[in-house]
Amino acid sequence: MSWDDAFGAANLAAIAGWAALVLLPRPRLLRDGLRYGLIGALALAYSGLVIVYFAGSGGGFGSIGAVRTLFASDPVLLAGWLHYLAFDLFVGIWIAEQADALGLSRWLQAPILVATFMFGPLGLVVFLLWKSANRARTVLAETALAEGVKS
Amino acid sequence: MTGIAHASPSRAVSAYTLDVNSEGQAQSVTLQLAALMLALLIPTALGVLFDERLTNGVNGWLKPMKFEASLAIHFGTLALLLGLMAPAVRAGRLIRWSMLTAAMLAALEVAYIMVQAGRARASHFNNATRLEEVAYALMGLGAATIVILTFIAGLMLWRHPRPGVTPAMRIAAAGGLMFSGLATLVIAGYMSQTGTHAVGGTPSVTGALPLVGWSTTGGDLRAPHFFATHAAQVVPLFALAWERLKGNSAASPVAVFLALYAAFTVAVFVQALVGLPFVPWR
Repeated sequence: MSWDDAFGAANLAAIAGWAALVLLPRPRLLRDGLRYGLIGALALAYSGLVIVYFAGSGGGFGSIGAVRTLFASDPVLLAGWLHYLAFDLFVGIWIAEQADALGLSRWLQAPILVATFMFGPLGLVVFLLWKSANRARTVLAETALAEGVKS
Repeated sequence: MTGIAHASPSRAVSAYTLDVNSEGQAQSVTLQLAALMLALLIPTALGVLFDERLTNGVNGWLKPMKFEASLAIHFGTLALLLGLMAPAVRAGRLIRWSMLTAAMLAALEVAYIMVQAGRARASHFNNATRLEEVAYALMGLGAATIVILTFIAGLMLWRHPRPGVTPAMRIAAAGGLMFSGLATLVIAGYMSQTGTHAVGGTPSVTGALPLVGWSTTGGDLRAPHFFATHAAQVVPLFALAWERLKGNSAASPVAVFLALYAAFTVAVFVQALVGLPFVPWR
């Protein structure tokens, strides 16, 4: 199996995981299956790649040049990609759990989850803003209700 | 009485936070370290399986793997044997801080060994760069502290056993821990002073003893280190077996076994010092 094959397989697995998160009901079994099964497997694969290839790549985290050197190595580049896939999905599950707990619509969650899948932090910041706005709305509604009761 | 009434609500809260006065804290932290070492075995195994680089002629991940297995056993043993200590002493500051310190040092030690394995560089006996020299010295200090703390745990166990601990188990647990701490300090300390674990022999790793990797052509100080350190398991296990099989909980048979085991360890130490392999006929 070439690095390209591994890359393709990881992408496919991640897409399947995201599809399940967006489309299926979310019993504990599904969430834990994604967290411990899929993300666990991605993280383990990442660990193996980094353990074997990181030091040999000659790169590092200290400068853009060092990171570029790091990613000149195919296995380390693959590891970096697995890092995205694993952490984005982890954040996606967190968003879904938070949104479900707040009773937010699955229809409105879907585009935010897709944005998190495609552009991780962008989806996350949209969710955080959305959550805050929802809280403000709830507080306003409660205040209005209280005022209404008083008058 | 009012004191107890006041204490109970805070106890309920502390179940969800770090309860610094808990009798179980020392055992909990040692068990957590053992679990961490077991967890690390999985990613380390990836290195053993897939890393093709060699450090001193062998896969560099075998070393962190041995340390993880050994420390898991060592701290698992500490957690078990601390259960034989009087709860008030176990809950005391000395034991709690000792075990937390030992666990932290063990974690840092393995972290450095793993980083060096990833870099395909030696961790012990490596004075090649200034940083590695300092790190090696700090590792020695950390390891010495762990074994001294092990000795202290044994000493406290001897002086303050929990009610109901048989004389056999008391001397086995306390003696095993104290001998483990003291003998490891001497043997590993000597090894660090000589700057290598080999005494004569060809440095080749081919033909080394399986699993442990000790030399079969010359003396290897890691052999007595192994037997010294793991006295903490062997002696209590002997006591346990003796009690079960013979129904005898007296201290003297265990004391005799401890003395024989110590003599054996000293013999293996001398054997290595004179440059003989642990298994000479291989």
